[in-house]
Amino acid sequence: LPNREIVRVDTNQTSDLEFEALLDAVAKRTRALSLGNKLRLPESPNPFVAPTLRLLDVGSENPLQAEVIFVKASAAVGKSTIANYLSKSLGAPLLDLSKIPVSTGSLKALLLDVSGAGNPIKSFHSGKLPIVIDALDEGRLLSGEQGLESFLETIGEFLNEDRSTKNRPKIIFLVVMIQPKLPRLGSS
Amino acid sequence: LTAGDVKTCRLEVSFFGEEAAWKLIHAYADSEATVNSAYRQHPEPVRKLIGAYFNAIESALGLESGHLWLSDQGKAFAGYAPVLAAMGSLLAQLDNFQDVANKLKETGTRVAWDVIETVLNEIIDREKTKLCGKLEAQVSAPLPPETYDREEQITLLAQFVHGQPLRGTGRVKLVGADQVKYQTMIKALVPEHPFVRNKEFGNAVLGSVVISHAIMRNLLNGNIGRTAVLSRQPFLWRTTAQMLSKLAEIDGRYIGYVLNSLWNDPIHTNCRVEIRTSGETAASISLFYNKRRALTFVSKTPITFYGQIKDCEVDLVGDVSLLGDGPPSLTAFYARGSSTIMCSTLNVDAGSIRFEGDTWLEADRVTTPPQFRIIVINGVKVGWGGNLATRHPWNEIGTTLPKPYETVADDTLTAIVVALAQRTLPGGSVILNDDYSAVPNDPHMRWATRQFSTQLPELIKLLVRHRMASHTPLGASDHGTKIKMHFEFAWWDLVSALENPEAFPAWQALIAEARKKIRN
Repeated sequence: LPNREIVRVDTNQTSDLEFEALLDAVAKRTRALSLGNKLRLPESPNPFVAPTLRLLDVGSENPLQAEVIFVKASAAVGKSTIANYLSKSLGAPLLDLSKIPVSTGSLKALLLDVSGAGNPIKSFHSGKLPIVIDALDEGRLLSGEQGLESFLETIGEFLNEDRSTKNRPKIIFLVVMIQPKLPRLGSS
Repeated sequence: LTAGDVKTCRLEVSFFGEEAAWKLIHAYADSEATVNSAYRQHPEPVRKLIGAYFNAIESALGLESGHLWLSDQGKAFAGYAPVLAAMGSLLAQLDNFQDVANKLKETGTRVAWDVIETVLNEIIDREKTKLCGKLEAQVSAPLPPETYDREEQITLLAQFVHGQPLRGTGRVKLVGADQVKYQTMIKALVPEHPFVRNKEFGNAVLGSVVISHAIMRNLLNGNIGRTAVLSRQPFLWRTTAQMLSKLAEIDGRYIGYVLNSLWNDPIHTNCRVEIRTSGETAASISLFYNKRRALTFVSKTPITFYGQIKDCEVDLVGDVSLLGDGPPSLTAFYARGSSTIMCSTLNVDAGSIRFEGDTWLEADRVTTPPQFRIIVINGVKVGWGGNLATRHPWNEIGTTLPKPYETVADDTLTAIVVALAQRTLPGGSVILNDDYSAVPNDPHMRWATRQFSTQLPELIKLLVRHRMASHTPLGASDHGTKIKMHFEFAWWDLVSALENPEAFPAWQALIAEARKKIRN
């Protein structure tokens, strides 16, 4: 059909990034946190070998100085292993959307359960309490279409409540990569 | 999320490069090898085996020497973390590194996955030797070759993880007392098998080998929990694909899991799947890469899709079920890419269908659960035919996609021949009117009535004239006398001849004539 097109990532428009660069860009917490019963700090996966990352937004200046980082990967590449490693290494609470249902305002509510980080809402907005959110794709299954959409929408609103810090990662999402569309092959 | 001035950054996890891949294999081998294992004692043969393994993959993928890690395809296969982890786990178990390395060099496999299977088979052979060595000393007669062979071990592993009695394949024939001793030994060794850990599969690769075997031998008994989980990864497809071309047919209840795995495989991005009726209770499933057919296999109908359908055309006289993925109260089914389903009954067993790609659905009957929801992503076109066009909730969403059978094929002759190849089993026949037209209201020929009503009789006439087809009478119908057409050739060969006429000189005259008569 004429309106179909193959969507490709132009590899010339991407560049490799060491995994450590991501770790360095995010604030590390060393003090213990009490997280309530939905966020968690997982064990570090063992063994773990850091993968190479590919930066998809090459044009932007200081790309890792972003409030939201999306880490995409093909199925079975080890997203959850990476999420667990990031969470443990950074001391950043992990929200696993394949296990915890979410809806309107869930992130703010979950942060209010955190103690040991001063005012958790302020800490989050200043980038000192980053959150790792795993299984964004599976979250759609667990929380439903509406639940996940309103969860994301209210995260957007929540981020906009405090604009004092704009250049530090506050949320890292891990999400499965859907393969590109194909053109229809005629009508055989 | 990007409302206001919130800055975002997108990263992609790459497949492992050469150095990291070696590191990952060793990391997993180190974590599983015992203190006195051969892996720890003989680092040089281990290094050579890993090198031979990557070389074999490079060769199987048809890459030039030294290009494995420079090629996207090479990295996607050789640098895939779960495969590397499985390789590391297996290394911890092996003790004959040089033999395996030699086998990898000698075998010269054409399919990359066979390289991994070669290593897996070594583990299986080692387990067989272990059991037979102990059992031989205890039994009264020589052990038959089937004793704890690959078929037997994988069947036992499938039974073990599914909590079924360890009966094996039933092929190992031993006299009474010897059979008891064999059974006792199986019960002791299977739970300790290198493929399993704590009554579960050691990892997704090993699990997929066992589950694909269980699917092909119908050993699952409807127990699909593990199959569903493994279908979210590519290895179930990769292991099953090895068997599909060799074995007769796959049960339609499981085909959706195998295809879900294919659609989750990053090295199969250019794949289109076409499913057509082929016989009374069978469907032919063909995979095309860049319009070229790569594989055709047969499945029993009805067919169940699990979790998603993607770049798939289904035209089936039979039932199709769409089974959602997710927790019981919130199951969802995804329609991705560009897909069509036309069938007799469409059973939707999902709380919602999310249309992320252009999709046409058409069925004589449709069933949906209560409170079923349809979600159409912005910009996506959908269309409903048959019973769906008038049924709630489908009819609340207007059709925006043209009927797929109203689209004109790029090459009509090839389109008819491919359609016949997909629907006609080797040596199979086609029922037509005696003027070679499709019998109206025959669901098996609906495709021809809709798309090729004038071109099909022209093609059949030509085939009869060239003595490539003949017919026998079948008796009168409401629309004239019906005949049964028999063909003296394989339809897929004719497809190949259309693609490359020089390779089929005997058919060049027929093809030239057909091209003149059957134009777009």
